Amino acid sequence: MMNHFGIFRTVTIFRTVTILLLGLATTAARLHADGPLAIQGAKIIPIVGEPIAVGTILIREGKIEAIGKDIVIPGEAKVIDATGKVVMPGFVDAHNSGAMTSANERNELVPFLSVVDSIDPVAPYFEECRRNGITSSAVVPGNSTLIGGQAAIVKTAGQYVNDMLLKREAGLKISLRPASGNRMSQLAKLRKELDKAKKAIEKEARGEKPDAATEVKKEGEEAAKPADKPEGGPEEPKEEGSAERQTAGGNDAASQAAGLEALKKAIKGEQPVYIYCETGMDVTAAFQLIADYSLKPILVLGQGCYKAADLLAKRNETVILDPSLVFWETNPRSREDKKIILPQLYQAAKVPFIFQTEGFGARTSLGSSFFWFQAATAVKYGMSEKEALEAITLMPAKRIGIANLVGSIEVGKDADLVILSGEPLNISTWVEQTIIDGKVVYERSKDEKIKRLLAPVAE
Amino acid sequence: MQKTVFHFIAATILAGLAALDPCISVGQEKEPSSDRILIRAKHIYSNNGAYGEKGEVYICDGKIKLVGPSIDAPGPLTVLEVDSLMPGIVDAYSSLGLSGGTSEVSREVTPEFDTYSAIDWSSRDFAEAVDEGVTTAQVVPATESVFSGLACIVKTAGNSGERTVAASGNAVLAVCSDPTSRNRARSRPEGIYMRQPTNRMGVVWIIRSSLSRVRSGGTVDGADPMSTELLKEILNGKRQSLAISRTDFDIRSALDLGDEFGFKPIIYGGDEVYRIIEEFKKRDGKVVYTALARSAASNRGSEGTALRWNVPGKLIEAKVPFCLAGESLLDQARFAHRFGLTHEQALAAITSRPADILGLSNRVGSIEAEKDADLVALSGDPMQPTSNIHWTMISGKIYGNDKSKQ
Repeated sequence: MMNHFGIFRTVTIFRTVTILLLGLATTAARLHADGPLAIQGAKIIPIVGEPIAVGTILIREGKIEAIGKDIVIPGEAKVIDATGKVVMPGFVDAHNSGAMTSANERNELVPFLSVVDSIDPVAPYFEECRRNGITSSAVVPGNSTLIGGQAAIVKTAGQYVNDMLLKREAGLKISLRPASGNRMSQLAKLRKELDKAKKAIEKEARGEKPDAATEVKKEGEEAAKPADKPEGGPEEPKEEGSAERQTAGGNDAASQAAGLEALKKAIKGEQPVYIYCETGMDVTAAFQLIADYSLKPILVLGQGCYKAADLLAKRNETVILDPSLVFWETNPRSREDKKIILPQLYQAAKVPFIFQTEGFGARTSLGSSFFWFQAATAVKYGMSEKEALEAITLMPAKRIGIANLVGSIEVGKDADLVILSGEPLNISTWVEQTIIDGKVVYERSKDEKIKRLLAPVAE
Repeated sequence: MQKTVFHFIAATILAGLAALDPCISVGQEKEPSSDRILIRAKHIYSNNGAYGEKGEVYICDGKIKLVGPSIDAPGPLTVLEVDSLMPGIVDAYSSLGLSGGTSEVSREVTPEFDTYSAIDWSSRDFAEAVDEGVTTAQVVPATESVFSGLACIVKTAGNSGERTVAASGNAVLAVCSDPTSRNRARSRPEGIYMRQPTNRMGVVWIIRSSLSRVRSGGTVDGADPMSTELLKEILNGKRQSLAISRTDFDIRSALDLGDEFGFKPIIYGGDEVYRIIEEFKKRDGKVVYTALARSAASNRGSEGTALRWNVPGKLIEAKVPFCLAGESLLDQARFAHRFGLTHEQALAAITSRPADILGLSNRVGSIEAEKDADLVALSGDPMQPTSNIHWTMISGKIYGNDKSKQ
């Protein structure tokens, strides 16, 4: 009981403090009330370009204004002395469901749903993101729903979801792992939906009247999408409301129409499609779908997909690896045990890849919860450190289409930075500060949770 | 200075023992011998000698014969150059190779059930353990019955027969809520699952009642006569017991039962030992700490112990004997280092400390002369997540030496 009380109390306090702090921060960001910010004395790993042994980064109005050895710091600038520390671009998470209260919808065809409705800005996920240097995250529905809804890309700090949003329709999630164990019906159902959308597009192209399903589109759209709130205005996450819609099932005309729209956008290439493949054979199926419906895919690969590494190499697109980068398999026929090292296999096959994390420091996954650990694992098995760091910053930013804003320290990009206590892949290195849009959103020296975890004193 | 001393010692030993020990005398063979190995390491990490310094290890007949900055080893031998060398990892709490079910669920008092009789020596578990640098492991039965059975200690590779370190070893007591979780009495009243206890009070009661009966010359109800013999051994201190306890009150219960019946169980699990650390120290507690392990969350069931990362730091501060245990031990040590232990403390927590707790410090856990040649060679600093294990040596034999990894 004492535990629970302790945790509850801490969470509550933290939430309150976070809300207050972030409230101030976001307001300030919008008004550009703060003057310039300079980070000086640190080693800078900009990802694009060579590291600078000791350099300065100048930030103005949330953007990087200058970076280099001999930057003149304006007198009015607030200065962070980062002597002896290392500054990197904030990490980019290209695929995570941690921000959602429930990652998967029970109904298997819900293209009309958007994760935006289930993002809770004070979710522990975002707190962990800031603590671990993740500044942008693609929130994507889980891997268990056939068409699971639409992803969104957010910054990991903000008071309201609208403050955090970078991209609303950031990708339609499709899972090729059959919920019922039957791959034939899984694919057939998926094709049926895609065919409907394809036919609708063809009809439109011929100038024909849309059929009954699209007739109710306008009404449907209004019903399915929440009316846009005035910018910066309060938009509390409506858990009850979204739960209701999640179980609505999508059989009504409104959701049918909204779903069709989402699928049409995917086929027209206006929205990418996250395709989760569980095994090698799913990769083949995914490629067929991509060709048949001219989809813009972002492939999310389960453990077994390495068997299709040669096929994946031909596409030469960055794939998202399973969080378990190293695991064992036993050949069912020869009974031979084999250690599978995903980063090594994909590197050998020349398939570019990025990482996912799991569990966020829950004791179940101390290693794979952290992007730095995933990158270190790739380095352990032969990747260069330079490539590994790119795979947690610029590559995921490119993969999800936000590299114009984040992923590297370059003039004009968002000032999303992490100040590390040492070299990024060293076991003893901690995130000292996380900066999003030029605002300090995390400071280790003020992190009560870390203090509690590291100094075990009975409460 | 140190180098000279080592030279001197090495030379003296070589001269003195040459006539007696075939490992020291110059061999007759001309080919490099696989029985005699000289390892030259840029860094030797062991809790004796110059930690992390350059050094050499001479191995013969599966034992470490000499350790020093430079060794003039005799005769034809195999020379291995490595970056970093550390002792083989000792896992005090594993279920490696335990086949055909890990827990007895039909009865509560089965202290005579022996893990050693159910080890699948060719299990993949062992291949994975060797790959992760684990060379010695205690195999502990799962905890769904109160007197869960006997643990055993094995090497993770080698010729069968040579792998046994301690068969039929420590007696395992589940002083926690685990035994209540598998009770299906409500669904199958007539089945074999109809059993006590259904709550944790019952767990403690079964231990107390069983031990009381045996102490007063009686037998345990419905249990095999062998059970009685085993419980007697626990009572008269002939057999070490270990108590699986994770919450603070479970740990207290285990120590209380020990005091009541005059034995000293070693605590396995120990998540919340930090809450009662002063008391634990006063009562001479020892703990095998598993809360940093990957499976800890699934082990602890509904107990809901609070998460603490630096309990090892607290234990060291209080000078409580402890070690880390459970899977991914090298990564556990790396994180323990991250969370507050020094490099040396973190490494010791998976090598010499578990060897001490298992009573094996004369054989394993450090790189010293006359110990088993159980070693791990890495591409770099063992505490860094970027360092890879090149090979694992068990009793002088190398496993997983993958040239492509180097």
